[in-house]
Amino acid sequence: MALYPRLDYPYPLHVDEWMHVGYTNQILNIGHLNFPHPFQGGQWEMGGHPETGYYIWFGTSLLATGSTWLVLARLMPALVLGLIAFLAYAWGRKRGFGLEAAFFATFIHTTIRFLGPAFLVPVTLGLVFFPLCLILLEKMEKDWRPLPLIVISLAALFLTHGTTAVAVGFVLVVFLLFYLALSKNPVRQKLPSLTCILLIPFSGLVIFLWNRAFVLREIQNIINAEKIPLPAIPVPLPQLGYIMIALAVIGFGFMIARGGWRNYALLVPTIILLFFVQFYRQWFEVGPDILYERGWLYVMLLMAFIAGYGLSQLRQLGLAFFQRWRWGAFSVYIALALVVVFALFLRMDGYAKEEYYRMVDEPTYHDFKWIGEELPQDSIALLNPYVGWAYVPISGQYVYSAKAYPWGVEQANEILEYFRRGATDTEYIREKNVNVLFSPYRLKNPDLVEVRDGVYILREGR
Amino acid sequence: MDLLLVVIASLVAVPLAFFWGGSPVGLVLGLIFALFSPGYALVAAVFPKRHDLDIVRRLALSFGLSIVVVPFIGVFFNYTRWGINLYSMLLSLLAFIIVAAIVAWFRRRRLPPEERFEPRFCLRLSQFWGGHHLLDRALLVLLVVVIIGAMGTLVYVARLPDTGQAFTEFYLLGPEGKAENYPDVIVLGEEAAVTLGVVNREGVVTDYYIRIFIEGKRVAEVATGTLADEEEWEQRVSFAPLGVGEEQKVEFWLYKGNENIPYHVLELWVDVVGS
Repeated sequence: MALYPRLDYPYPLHVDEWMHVGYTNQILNIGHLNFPHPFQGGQWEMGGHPETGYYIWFGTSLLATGSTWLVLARLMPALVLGLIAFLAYAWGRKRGFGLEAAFFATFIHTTIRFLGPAFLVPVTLGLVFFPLCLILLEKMEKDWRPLPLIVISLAALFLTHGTTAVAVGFVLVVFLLFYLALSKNPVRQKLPSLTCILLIPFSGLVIFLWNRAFVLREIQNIINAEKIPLPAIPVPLPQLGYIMIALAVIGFGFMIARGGWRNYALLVPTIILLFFVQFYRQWFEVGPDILYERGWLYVMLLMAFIAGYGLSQLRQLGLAFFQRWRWGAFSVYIALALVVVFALFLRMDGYAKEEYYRMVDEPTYHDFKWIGEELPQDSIALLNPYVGWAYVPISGQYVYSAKAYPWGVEQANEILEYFRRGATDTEYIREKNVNVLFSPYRLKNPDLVEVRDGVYILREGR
Repeated sequence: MDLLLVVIASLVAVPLAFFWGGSPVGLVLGLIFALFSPGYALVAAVFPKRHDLDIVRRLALSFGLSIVVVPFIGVFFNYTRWGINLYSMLLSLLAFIIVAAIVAWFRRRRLPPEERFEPRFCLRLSQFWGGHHLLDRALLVLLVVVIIGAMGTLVYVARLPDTGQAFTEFYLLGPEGKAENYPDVIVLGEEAAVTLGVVNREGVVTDYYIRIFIEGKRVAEVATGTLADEEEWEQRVSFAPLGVGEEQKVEFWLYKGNENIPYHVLELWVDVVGS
């Protein structure tokens, strides 16, 4: 599934993927977590990045494999989704819906708005922590040993993707509360869980220690949440396919019917998160936006577990019902296989309908690569700030300006207008220490040499 | 045995990354080293008993906890004089794996043999096969097919997929074959030189020729000959201006095959002075 959007495209898709590659490369180049701006360079040191954990993880993978970022950027989304599915299997297995949960976990949708497992971004890695922490949590029912592992895992997640850490922490707290309230285990066995509830908020301390200003700013944003009409986030559920949605609804039904703290502990956070991303935002229109933007991913993962549960219950029910019939089991499996195949078909159709943009085409990639190989390493390029995000990882050189969303940004408009007018003002680029231009228009400036299609270099001394 | 295997695989992965990074073996071992081994050793140290965890959960936690371990090592090295680099990260990860494996080994040794976790790799296929229902066997076969299919897709995507875009790279370098010292001021009657390059990425064998114009007048022509797909051509090319004048436009027109319309045009400006 994660490979689907990039089967015929070898480069990162989303602007965030390019951005994270740039940050990771910069950390590896500089060797520290305080570093000059990865795209624009200069003296300004960036430190305490809230997604540092992800950069270290991706950077270490690059170092350990010796591969280029391009190879790992293609491989990793599939590997990470495979991990999510495997952990979902391991978690659901004991309760009889491991394979089903793993199957539906791969259905999590990816859009350019809220990202997803087809993109190599911190939130994708963060999804691994849902089943990981749930496995540890179940082990903790009778055991103290998983407790530090849960706290450390959450701390690592806070360093990797804070929003996901909050979501995982919330799910864990709900699980623990249901366990403490409804489980019939003796009180002594519940002590690790009780301690865990108390320690979960402390795992967030790591990000506070790492970047206090960031945390305080986010808390301020939440406290002073203003009513801002935010652009609507398209509901991704139809893309999952109606079979999975139906199975999730069936799973909901079975869970309520069967009862038990484990079922309630899965249902309640799913419903709350679903309500939160779908309704809360539309009614109250308050920030911070990121909780809504990424919330659908968490909902889809939890729904995948529930859909898996629903399918497994249908299987068990079918096998029990047709037990006496000679071909009963066979028929049930055939029926389930058809359900699975159609669910997969609908899911692929959902992916096919989703539109992804491509930051660079193959000629542009080779242009940037050539610049990186032929021009001095300290070159600074002027180009469309949007494409600047891709330029830096490919060429290994800085740009004058890189903006993820340049539309309406004065500097971006100024640059594009400069190109539109033929880049005749050499002083403009000299002031900015720019010596490479990548222009969508043919330029008319004798101080420039066109060294490739659209690639110009400034000749000094003219 | 399992701990030894993890340590040996890590001991092989690290020098591979140091000296032969980027090889397919290095990729596989490197991924195991970074995404599995630290977690496996940690899980083994924390849960030494057989009944602590089943093998599936043990493996799942190994992958998951490896992701947990790595960021902390990176943050730690950020505050040391070594910083985050190939040697500090990989050697420290290796040290972590070895230490955790030793702890796991000691903890297992303190347990009665029947309680120790020891994965058994020998599997009798007939016993395994016979112990399953026909439908389960079919499902297992299907699962294996799906896994092989997924691996195949992964390998397919790992290599650069063909975007289907056909294009030609055409570039201009200075006379020494570097992006510097482009002709600037030329004395009339003397020749100036540049290096021209063509890379055929059309997906088919292609002929090219290049014409050089100064102020719209053709002054030179050079043919690249036939280039196979992905074949590169680079050559130093000379030209002489026809008259004196400032800011004369020199154009390099690349033609493909027998076409009369230029495929790419590159340009630079020169001042031509009298002798």
